[in-house]
Amino acid sequence: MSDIVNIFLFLLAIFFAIGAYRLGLGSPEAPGPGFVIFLASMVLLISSAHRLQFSKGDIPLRLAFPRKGLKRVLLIIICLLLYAKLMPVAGYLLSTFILTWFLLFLNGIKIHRAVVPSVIISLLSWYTFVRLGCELPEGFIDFLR
Amino acid sequence: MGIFEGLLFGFKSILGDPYNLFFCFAGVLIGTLVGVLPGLGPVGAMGILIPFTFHTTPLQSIVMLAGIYYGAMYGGSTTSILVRIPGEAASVITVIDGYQMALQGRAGPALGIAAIGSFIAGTIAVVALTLVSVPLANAALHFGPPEYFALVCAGLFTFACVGQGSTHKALMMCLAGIILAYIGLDPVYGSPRFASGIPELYDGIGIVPVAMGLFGISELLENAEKVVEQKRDVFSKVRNIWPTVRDWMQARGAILRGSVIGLCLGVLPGGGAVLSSFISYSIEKKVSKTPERFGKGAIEGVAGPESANNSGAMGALIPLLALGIPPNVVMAMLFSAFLIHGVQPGPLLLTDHPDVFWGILASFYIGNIMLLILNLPLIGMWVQILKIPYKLLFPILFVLCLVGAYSVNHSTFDIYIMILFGIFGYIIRKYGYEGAPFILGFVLAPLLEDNFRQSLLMSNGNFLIFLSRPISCTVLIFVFVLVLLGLFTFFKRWREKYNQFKEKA
Repeated sequence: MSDIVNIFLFLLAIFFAIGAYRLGLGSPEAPGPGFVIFLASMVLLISSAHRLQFSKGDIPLRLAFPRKGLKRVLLIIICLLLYAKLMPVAGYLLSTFILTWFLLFLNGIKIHRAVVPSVIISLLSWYTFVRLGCELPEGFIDFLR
Repeated sequence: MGIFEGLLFGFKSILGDPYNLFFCFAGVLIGTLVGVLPGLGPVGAMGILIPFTFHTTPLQSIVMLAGIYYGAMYGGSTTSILVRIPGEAASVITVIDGYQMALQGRAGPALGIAAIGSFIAGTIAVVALTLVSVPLANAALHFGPPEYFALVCAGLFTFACVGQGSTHKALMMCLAGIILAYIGLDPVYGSPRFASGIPELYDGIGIVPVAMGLFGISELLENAEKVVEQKRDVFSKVRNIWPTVRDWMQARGAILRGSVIGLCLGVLPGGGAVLSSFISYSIEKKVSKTPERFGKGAIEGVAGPESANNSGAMGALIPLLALGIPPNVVMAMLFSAFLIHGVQPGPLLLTDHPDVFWGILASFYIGNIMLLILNLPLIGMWVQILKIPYKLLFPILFVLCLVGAYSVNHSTFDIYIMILFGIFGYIIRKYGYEGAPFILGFVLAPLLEDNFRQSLLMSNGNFLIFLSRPISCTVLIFVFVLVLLGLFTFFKRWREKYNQFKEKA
């Protein structure tokens, strides 16, 4: 079996080739919006199909993603997604504090010891970015201003 | 404006405005920091900082972002020599002899020759950049869409062929980048393409969240797999930074050769700093009368690659400034920064924005001097920074990436895009695919499409337009030869495999 990236690229090429065809290829005199996308997708489709056919299989999934490490990675990804969801509601300071607290804990710092560095990182980053002109969401603690 | 007058004009605009000077200093300082700290490369750092340059002038922005790039080349050697962890891909080769010198108590001269070599090579490359860019930009004024299309094709193909991994995988990533770059509005008809009714996608996917996902988040996720705590043995006592006369005699040839190699390879797509440093090391080993010293602390093994990577970093700016075509991924980020500020890099930069063109060139001369000062007397400060435990840096790097992505449009949509590309980057790394061809394809895709469509419109749909013009024809023949060479290698391997199989059978 070939690697999952190749399978993904193969599917991506099919999706974009069909989409480009629907957008309209036009003619060589007046190329349509899908013309170049279709050409690029077809080349990608042929390349990935060739690898799918002839590649003798790359790294097996369980070797590429060791179970223990994958668990940590998945936890971080979930945490990042929650952060993106939480930030507009809870504001930058609170959501960043929770994120850094969790990441420090995940890196072996005891939960109570992670509080102070998390507070410092959140406050310092907030101050720096605001000074640099970035408008960060304040969330429900807006009234504290 | 002649070269001399132009340079004077550039120096006036940099030195005459304290803000410009400040941004130059900030760039090289952040660059050195990025080079020193493993886990964040210049691409990630540029991605984080691009949104914060929206309020600055184009000159200030580019001067700072370029400073990050060549500053990182200086900083990368510090970790290679003192900790045996390359801070930058371009400093990987420095680990071999740099760390051995540190073990022998010669960390000071190793750092010294790396900084001085980088300075000399950087200065030689800037002089070459000044002399070559202007005539090349003037020549490029006569280029039309077919020539640009051919040049972009050549850039992408050469990048994929010269890169470190498999050419086939690099080409596939390049194509994936090209396809995804077309999400958004069609430049000619204005109709949405693959936006799926999501308003944020009408403007296309931003380069900043994509680059930060592929280079920042993916690397952090990969590190998160194994790291609980990386204990680093740092050589804190760095003495006698100035190399001895003997060191100088041994290293001078390596510095000069490294400068020339870096400059020549830096101009090539896919060449840049990384390839230059590796080739410089192998050449030094070959020309040395005592090659057995290499790997055991030979000063030429530090001086050559460090000079080459700095010279290569500067050389990569020639195609960007003169032709408007980024030859590597860092230049692709710089190219995006130019566009964000409404400045088109390329031959018209010299006539439309002479202040930016000459200001950037002048800032390189000044930045190199700043870097020498930052890296020699202040080496103790960088050593202290190296002692910050990774478990503390880890959440800080995540926060920097998240805020960097958010601040582009003040939208969490970009954060989701960054996470998505972070996961994509994490998975492709596992299977030996690289993010750099993807980014280059992503950045060059609009240029490719515009020039291709314009060429066909010009010729009434005649594809022979690409072969009827001398420059585009020559460049496309070069691409064709590259493809033929690739196919030849492929069939040769295939035949060998077939013969082996036949023998076994």
